[in-house]
Amino acid sequence: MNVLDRPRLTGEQIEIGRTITEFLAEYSSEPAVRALMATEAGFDPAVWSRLADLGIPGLAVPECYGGLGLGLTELSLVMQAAGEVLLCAPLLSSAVLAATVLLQVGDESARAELLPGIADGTSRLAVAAPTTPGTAVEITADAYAGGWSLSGRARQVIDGATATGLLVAARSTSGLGFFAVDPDAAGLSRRSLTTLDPTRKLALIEFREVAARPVSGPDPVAGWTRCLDVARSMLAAEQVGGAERCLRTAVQYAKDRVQFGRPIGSFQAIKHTCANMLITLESARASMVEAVRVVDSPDRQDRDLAAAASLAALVCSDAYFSIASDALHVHGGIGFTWEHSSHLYFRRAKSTQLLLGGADQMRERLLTMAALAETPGVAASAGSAA
Amino acid sequence: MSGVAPDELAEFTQRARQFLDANAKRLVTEFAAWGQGPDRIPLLEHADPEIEKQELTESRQWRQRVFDSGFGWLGGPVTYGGAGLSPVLDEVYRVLETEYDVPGRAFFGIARNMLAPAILDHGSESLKRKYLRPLFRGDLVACQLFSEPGAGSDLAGARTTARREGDGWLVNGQKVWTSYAHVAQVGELLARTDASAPKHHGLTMFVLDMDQPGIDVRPLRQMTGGAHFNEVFLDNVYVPDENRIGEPGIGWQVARTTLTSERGSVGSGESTLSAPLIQRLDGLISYLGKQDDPSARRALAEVLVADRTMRLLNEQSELRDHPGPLGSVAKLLFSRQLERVANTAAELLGDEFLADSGEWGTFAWTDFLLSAPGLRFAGGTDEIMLNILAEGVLGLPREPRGDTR
Repeated sequence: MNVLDRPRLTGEQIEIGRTITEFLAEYSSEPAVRALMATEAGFDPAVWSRLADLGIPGLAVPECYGGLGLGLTELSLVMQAAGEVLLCAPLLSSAVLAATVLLQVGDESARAELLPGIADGTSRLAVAAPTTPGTAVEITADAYAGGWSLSGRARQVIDGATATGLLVAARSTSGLGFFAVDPDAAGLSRRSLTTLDPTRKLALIEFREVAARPVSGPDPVAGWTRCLDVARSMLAAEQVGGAERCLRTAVQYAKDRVQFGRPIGSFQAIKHTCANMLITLESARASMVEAVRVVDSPDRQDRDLAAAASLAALVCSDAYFSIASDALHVHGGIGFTWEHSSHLYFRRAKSTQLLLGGADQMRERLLTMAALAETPGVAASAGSAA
Repeated sequence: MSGVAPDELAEFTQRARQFLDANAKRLVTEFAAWGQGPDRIPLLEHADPEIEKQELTESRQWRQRVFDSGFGWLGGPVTYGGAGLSPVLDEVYRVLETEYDVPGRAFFGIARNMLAPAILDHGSESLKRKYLRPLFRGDLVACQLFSEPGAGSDLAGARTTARREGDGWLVNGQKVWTSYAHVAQVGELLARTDASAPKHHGLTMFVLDMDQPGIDVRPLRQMTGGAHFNEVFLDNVYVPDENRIGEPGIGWQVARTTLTSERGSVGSGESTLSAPLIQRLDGLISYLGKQDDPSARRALAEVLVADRTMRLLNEQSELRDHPGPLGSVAKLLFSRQLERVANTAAELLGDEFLADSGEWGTFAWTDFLLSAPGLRFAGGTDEIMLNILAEGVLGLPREPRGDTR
């Protein structure tokens, strides 16, 4: 089992998966991850620039904006491999979320200006917008003679404290819009937060009349919903990668650890736990592969994307956390120690489970899209949920 | 899909649709509206013998027409009656057929998914020529004479014997849990032919003619009250040597081929819970006015999620290079889903589940609940499935055994 054990991959995609896996084995070892998670920045600029040399941040950015113009399938392979090793890098924040916001919400001039920097890794953009359906935008945008200014705050901004630029969702009298903001602008303060998962940094960003430039094209609300669904599909790949690693580590330990004169993996209690982890993993993989397929379909409809992404988010989130918990348990006491990697995956798993919307919200979206358990009141409110 | 070019697939789909449109009506969904249609939610069929006979005749006639029109065995070699195309097309056709109001194929599931693969992989040339075509054409109903009172999960411990007698073998023993034995013309028989060999090496597989003296089939009443399974008593039953599947002593390997195919089919699209079942649960929620009840919504969503995931897994397993063990995954997910559905219905109904009020679509769920436990044994228990995955896929060590020689 590995990153390539997925149906429907082309030869070129398999090659990309192999390249990134080898790269990460060298540059994102467990000691490297532990060193970075203890830093405030939380990533290694040298490794990021090597990743940029490989074209990774611009993999799915169209060639006209300086990217490689490949699909999100390719990016999902990178996410899966990154998830396996808990890569500390602004991949989800900049290469997935920010790039997708520009492509799905941004106007042409914002794309032309900002995407090339994302693609070549020289910019690392963070997106300050509520990622959980139903959460209100806490930032207001006010027009004044010379432009726009933002006030309010954004919580849990992924890589927000270190980003070189921000894309901020704010409410104005004309509704939701996205704005580009310079993080060094006057009135802006950002603080790195202590996180459940130290391998992915989150920040609180406060805005006091901060100068901002609108970047939205038409219908930013629908665009943002699509962004989140794309991000959920990519995060699902990361989750499958992490879950695969947990299962592999647990199985190896079950083969090596001897008690009562036998490897503990020969006892059905342990063996069946591992087999159930495999079942959970394969279910997650199936839902992720489908979500990625839909994301990359040229004729995809928002509805299909929402259904596939919600399913993958639900199944992969629950799968990752249950596999990470069981893997920790298979290791016994050693798995409970700081030095063992189990808790890093356990933290990542729980954190990703909640990062882009919880299970209840995904279930409600699925019911709505399948037209099940409908009452007029519920259907109307769930239909608008991102 | 792997192995089939998009043009070929499109051409095939068009051809299959033409055939189906010309020979069958489109299915008007089984669950049209709450309160309409038969008030049954069957999981294990156990119809009245007369009805069953009628259903078998209709099912057989349909399969024969399908076969004679070239759609019965698309992936099979031409020499043995197949169409010589990609096996993927058999699944494509099966899915297309589910959109039409045609007799089900359950009677022929064992013939097609278990006995035929065993003969294809291990049988002699003459056995292939004799049986494959009628098995796929619906001429023969098959049953599987594997389990015994003393050999369940430990199937290799089977004690039914086959002893050399002239040009053939004489069979004595008892089999159990034999679905369709009462209507089958042939049985796939696992028998011990060498008592002195280690247990996995003393077995041989045969195709047994079920219409002959010495075979006593007795219905076995299961906890639902119906009789889906049988006991089969074999008393000096003759099998010609030409009906042997594979060499004497390799019966266990042949059984494994059969069981792998069986697990794939238990959990696969062939028995994935149909959408009408989810519609039925949805109808139940509306009937009970529980659309706004968070726990009802959650339960329904969980059934939907499991259903979609199983479908995706089955669909994708056909694209994987080594789909074999995924059959065990599919079977486990399927039996868990049955329990989830049954318990959801019970939870929604509350005390309406306890006694038949005569209300459509309520007490009928009890039969579903009472059938669900059986699927956790059929084709290998949950525990055996988990062992197969743990040992076969993950490479975990086997448990110490008390029976190795």
